[in-house]
Amino acid sequence: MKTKSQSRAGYYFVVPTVILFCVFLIYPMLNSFRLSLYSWNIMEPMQFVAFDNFKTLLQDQEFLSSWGRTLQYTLTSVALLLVISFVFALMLDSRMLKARNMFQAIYFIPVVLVTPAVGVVWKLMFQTTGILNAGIFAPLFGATVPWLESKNVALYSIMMVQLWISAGYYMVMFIAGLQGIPEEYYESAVIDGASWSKRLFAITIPLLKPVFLLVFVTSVLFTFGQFALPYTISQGGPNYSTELLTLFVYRNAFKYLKVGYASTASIFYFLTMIVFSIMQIRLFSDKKR
Amino acid sequence: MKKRCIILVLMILLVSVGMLWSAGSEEQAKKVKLVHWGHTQPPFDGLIQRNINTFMAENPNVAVEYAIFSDADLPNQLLTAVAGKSAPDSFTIAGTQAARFLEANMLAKLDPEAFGKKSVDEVLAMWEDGAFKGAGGYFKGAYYGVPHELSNYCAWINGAHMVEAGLDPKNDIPKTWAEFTEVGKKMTVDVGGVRTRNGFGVNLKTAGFVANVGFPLLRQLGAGIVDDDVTKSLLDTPEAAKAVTTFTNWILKDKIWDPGLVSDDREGFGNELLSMFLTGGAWYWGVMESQYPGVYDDAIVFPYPRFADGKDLGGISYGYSTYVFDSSKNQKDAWRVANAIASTPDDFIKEGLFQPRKGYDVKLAEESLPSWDVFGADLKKSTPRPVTKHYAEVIDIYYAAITQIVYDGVKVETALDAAAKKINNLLKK
Repeated sequence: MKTKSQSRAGYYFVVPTVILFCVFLIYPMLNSFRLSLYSWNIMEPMQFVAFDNFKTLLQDQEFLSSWGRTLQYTLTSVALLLVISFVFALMLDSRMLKARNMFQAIYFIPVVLVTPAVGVVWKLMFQTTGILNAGIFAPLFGATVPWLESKNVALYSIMMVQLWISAGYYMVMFIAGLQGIPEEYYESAVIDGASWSKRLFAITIPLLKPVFLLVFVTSVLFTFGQFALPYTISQGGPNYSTELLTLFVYRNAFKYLKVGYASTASIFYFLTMIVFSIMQIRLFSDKKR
Repeated sequence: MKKRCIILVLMILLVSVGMLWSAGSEEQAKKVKLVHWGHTQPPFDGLIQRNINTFMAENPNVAVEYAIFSDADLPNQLLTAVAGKSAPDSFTIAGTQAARFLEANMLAKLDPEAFGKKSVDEVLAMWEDGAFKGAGGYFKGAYYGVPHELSNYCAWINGAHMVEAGLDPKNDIPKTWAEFTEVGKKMTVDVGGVRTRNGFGVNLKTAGFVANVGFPLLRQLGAGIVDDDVTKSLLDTPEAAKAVTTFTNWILKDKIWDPGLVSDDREGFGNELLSMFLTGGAWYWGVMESQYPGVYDDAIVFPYPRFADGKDLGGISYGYSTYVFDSSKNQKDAWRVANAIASTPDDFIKEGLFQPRKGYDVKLAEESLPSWDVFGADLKKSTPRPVTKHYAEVIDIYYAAITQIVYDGVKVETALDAAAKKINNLLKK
């Protein structure tokens, strides 16, 4: 049985973390809510504007487009990430493949690279003289792709980099999940005459559902908050076609010094994440039932 | 007895140290402490520190702490300091970045006494004509900043590319925008339907560079992103449409500029991916020498072309000024430091920057600043940029209009009318 002093000692251990959490997370978050009710450019006194920032924001076409674009970017990237990282995991988990560890390491390398550096390198690769156009598309097809010059293509170009940089991470999660499935299940299925696809849909995918959910949750969080890639690759262009919500907040807060307005936009960011989280919690709850 | 002696000696020592320390503290307390912030730009960091050291040696009652930040970080560092009520006494920053502090009434007006003068006019007379406005020290009828550095954009062309295209680098330098376009066409190279060299280019990924080239184009025709007093936009005019059409046609119709080839025009010129660009100051010679030595000997500087029926205006002038915060308790001394920093124009020139203080050695400038004959002459006809706290938003709106025309196929007049309305709404706030 724990003594009172032991319990107190437990609190002491927790206190530093709680203090840091409150100072660096809770306070800025609450302050952001407060700032959303003000008009403030850092230099002049704050002006209380009640919910004016919210009204303006909901009529701001640039914000609405940016919010919708972020959803599009997130959902498309996450769907592709789930598929690609799962397929890679299946391939690399195969016993027929030699040098599995080497391939796993190669696919994982982009994960450990610094995102802004990745962005700069891909930006160069997307140029007309970059390896994609000059090395592949021009010699093979006699034409170049406007990777970052077309409004219809630019967002997908950045999405491609997003997949490249993060697929290895989720692939490792899937591999860990695959290795946790008892081999006996597959052996029984083979004896029963189940084909590879039958085994995949009847054993592998159902047993990997928790991993799929985990990958979904974490990839939504990381992708929705992506800043470094669009900032370094396209700076939100052309014509704002790659401006995600994070860039919109950045532009208003640090370029235009509309701190209150940017805080309001960040609240919408927060609310969107809350909605995603509720959806995810429900999915987990269903699993428990 | 021995013990008492030791205690006595110790007490005497303690009292002596205390007295000496307090005397030192009093001296310290009497000393004026100033903090000056600037942006790092070697070798100027050392030059400014030397000037500050000289000032401190001549004024032993003033201690100046000089802090250096990256050019990109300095504005946010200043804003953070202002928000935390710990702003420095003085700072040196790009003129356009100072606008937000000027509009917030946070900066002190020039104090002639600190310069040993009786009036502001006498202080202005210490620098070349137009230096204060060009470097961003002038705002709404008053003077707030001492010119630190003044520069201007001229046009650059690769002479070897001209020869390759059958042009004469001496006689075929374009003087009008029409000639500029024709020369650009001749120097553009496509191989197998793929662009390998642009005749011309601007960094189309950054609003600032698009606006920097737009200002003179518009001004030459009497239009503007905003008017001189920054009260309204002049983009909804036929003159603006003509200037912007000229600019966007380089991509859409004349095909001398494929924005996908290279985004950074200065880098593109250095790597020979484009033959002409418009965003280089005299300092670009130094950049070429260190980063692109292969094109150094072929580069030719020439004045911004003009419209045949337009005004005789060159590229933008821009600069850095030293300002004093109104919150400084020692404004007079802070202005004296600002004066001291800018007191050695020849040292600036030797390092490749133009400090427009009168009395600079013209011969030295011609020797030390390559193409000074072109830059110096065009500087006198240069286009200043507007000073407004909305600068970033204004140029973003203009930039959005340009990208709509280029990427979305929006009509020039439609895009510019919408941009003008947005800018006018913004300026009303």
